[in-house]
Amino acid sequence: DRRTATMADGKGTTCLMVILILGNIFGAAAGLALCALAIWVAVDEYKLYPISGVSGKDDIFAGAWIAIFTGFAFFCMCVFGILAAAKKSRALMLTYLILMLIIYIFECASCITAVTHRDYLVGNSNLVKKQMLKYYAADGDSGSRITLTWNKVMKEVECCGTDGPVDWIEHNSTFREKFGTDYPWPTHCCKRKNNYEVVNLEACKNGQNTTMFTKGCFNHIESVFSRYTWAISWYGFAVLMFMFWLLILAMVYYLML
Amino acid sequence: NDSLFITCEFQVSLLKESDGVVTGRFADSLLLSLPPCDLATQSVTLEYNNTDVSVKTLVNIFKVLPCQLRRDIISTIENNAQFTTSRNLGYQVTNLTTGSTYRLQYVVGAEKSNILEVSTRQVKDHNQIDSGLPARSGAMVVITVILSVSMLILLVALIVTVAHSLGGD
Repeated sequence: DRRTATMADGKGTTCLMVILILGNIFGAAAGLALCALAIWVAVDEYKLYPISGVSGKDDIFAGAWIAIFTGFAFFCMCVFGILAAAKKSRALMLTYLILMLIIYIFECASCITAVTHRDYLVGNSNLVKKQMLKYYAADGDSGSRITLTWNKVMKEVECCGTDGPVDWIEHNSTFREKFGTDYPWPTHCCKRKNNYEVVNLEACKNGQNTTMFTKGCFNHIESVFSRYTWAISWYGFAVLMFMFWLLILAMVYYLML
Repeated sequence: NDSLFITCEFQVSLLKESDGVVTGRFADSLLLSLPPCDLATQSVTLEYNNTDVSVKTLVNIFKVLPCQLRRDIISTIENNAQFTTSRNLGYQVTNLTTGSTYRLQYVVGAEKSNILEVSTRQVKDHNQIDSGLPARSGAMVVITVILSVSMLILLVALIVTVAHSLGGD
């Protein structure tokens, strides 16, 4: 009885072993890619971290850091899984299953918190606008970081304000308190020549749209944070869905050993 | 009777985006259009009042086209390498109070414009902007729900697997 049972299992086990090994190879590659993608997010080439950092909603980047480690851990564990499956060892398979589950839970946390904080930050333009009005031209560390970030964005993306230049005149702000109403908006909203000189300062103060940037910066900021979030949370989600089925198969294999 | 029809000799209006400006209403100033050119060389007087205060008159603020460039005439200067053109866009009325309604009227010689009733922008406090969590996006709900369920399934499955293998032995 036992002999026939193991013989019947033999072919099935080999088949499952091959599937597991292939799955783990693919999983290792996916984990390594997740690690690389998370490094890209953590590097923040668009230099928009201060906007999330000052608001305290910076878990897109915390999720990225977690994903760097879980991605690499998935890679290592999948290589270990290949060994465990090939050796047909129960103890090794159990170790594999427990460690993979722990890494799985951490990666879930990374995905969920990244997408939640993205909703906080750029679900609508209110938080970014309020932060801009409060911290632009303010004193202190937060103020200088936000001011530098906004100046960079306004110059490179050629935009002004969050939804538009009207934000600066519709609300009071630290900028207005400091500089009065002579300049309705910062001079970074004005078009400049290649030598950085303002094209026409008086026209810019009056709001003539040929001499200043009239589109809002929120579209750009939202698209950057969304891009980072989709990298961490959606790709992380895809990797996790693949790992879910791999782990279920691994449990079945463990039971068959 | 004749009070039903009010004839205005010419129109005054606020500058709009189609006139080439971001907005005609600021918190403490307004951008008005200029009187038409057929009243050229006559000087313009602007009368305006706040709803409660007495009428202010700015006399001889500028001459209608050909306009001499005065301080408050807004003009664009477009220039490329070959030539410079300048257009006069409007007149900026300054030193107004925030969030109040004004009635403005040009007087050019014997002719008057319509009375334009506008209010300056009311400045809102930026601390009042509600920056709480806006509606949860679909992506967040999907990811959270599916991942939480999958974590639960895996945990239960692992416990069952280990129990089964221990029970089996």
